[in-house]
Amino acid sequence: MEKDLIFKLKGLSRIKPEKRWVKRTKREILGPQFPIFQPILIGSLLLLIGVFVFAQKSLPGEKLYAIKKITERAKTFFVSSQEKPKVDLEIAAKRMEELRQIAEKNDVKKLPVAIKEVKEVSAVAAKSLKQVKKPDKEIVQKTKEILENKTLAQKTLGTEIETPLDETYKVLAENLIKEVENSSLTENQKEVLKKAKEFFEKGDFASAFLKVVEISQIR
Amino acid sequence: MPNLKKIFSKIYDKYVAKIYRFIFLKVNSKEIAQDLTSETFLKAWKAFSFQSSEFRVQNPQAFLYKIAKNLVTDYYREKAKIQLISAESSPIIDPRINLEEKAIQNSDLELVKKAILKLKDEYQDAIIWYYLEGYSVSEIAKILDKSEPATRMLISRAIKNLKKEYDKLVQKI
Repeated sequence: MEKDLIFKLKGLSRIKPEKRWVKRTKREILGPQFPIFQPILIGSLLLLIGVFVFAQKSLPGEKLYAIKKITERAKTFFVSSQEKPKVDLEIAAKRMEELRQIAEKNDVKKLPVAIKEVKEVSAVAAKSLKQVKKPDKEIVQKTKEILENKTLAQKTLGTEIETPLDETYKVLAENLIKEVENSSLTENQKEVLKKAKEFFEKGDFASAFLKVVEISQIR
Repeated sequence: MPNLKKIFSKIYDKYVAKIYRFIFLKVNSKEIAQDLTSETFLKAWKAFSFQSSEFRVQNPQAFLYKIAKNLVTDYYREKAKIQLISAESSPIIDPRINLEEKAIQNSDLELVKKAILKLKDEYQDAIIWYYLEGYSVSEIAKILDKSEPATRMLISRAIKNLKKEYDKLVQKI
């Protein structure tokens, strides 16, 4: 009976390759594939990126703040010694901005941590800034940002904020004033120098530094 | 390329068991069937990744079976050469086969397998595709590049011949 034979023939469909061999052969032909891990990997990566992006907006005393600091530290690790003062100053500017934000929010709990952070990074930036012989645009810009945020934070808190950077700006401003005084100046330049000296006398060394730098840009 | 890999990966998943079974029934050895099946897919992947005209013209099923058939033919050609060379030094097989082995060898499925092996190539193909894989006459006609009536005729002859071979084997037991 052909029917019997056909029935027996269907039984041959049980012949199947070993699952392990099927997987291995596919991998050998097409290379490694991660059908399950790929979405997990992409998901984890996106989550990680999200955490890093979100961490950049965090403030001292918050959970993600440590990640923000690690990212910044990693950045300073890869820059040249020439670029380091700029990066350190940039970080100091960020800390001062955070302090200003916390002061404006009147977040008393975070305030001590924020002040501590400002002092710590300012000490690092002060050390780096001492190595700078000729301040460039970026240093001037970051100094302006620090000064601006410091002024606002002081106004909100109603108290003076002293950082190690003040001393460095004092030295830099003093040296630059001496240097400028020995050169011939236009009337406009003399006027700016006068203002720089006034700031210096008042103990506002960062402003004095900015003014004396301004002289070289005026004719 | 990743997209091509994805598409071929689906083709592989769909046909690997069928191609393996097709080859296994023709060579009656797990190891050889594995080797020839992986070679079939490797060749197909090369053609697919280069988007060769051969691959584009045919459907994947027909293309894979074509490669598999050629590889089986090559395998038997090589085997015949080797047997010719080593005919004199072939080992003497012990005629005393134990009962268990004999029972396996004489099971219905084994007999059907043996009967298939005794058929000529095109009958084997027709039997495997039509009765085992359940392809329609028109699908088989496409793979074989034959007309549908000619394919129907081939299937009919194939099953008749299989029955003859099967009966012969049963009588021998």
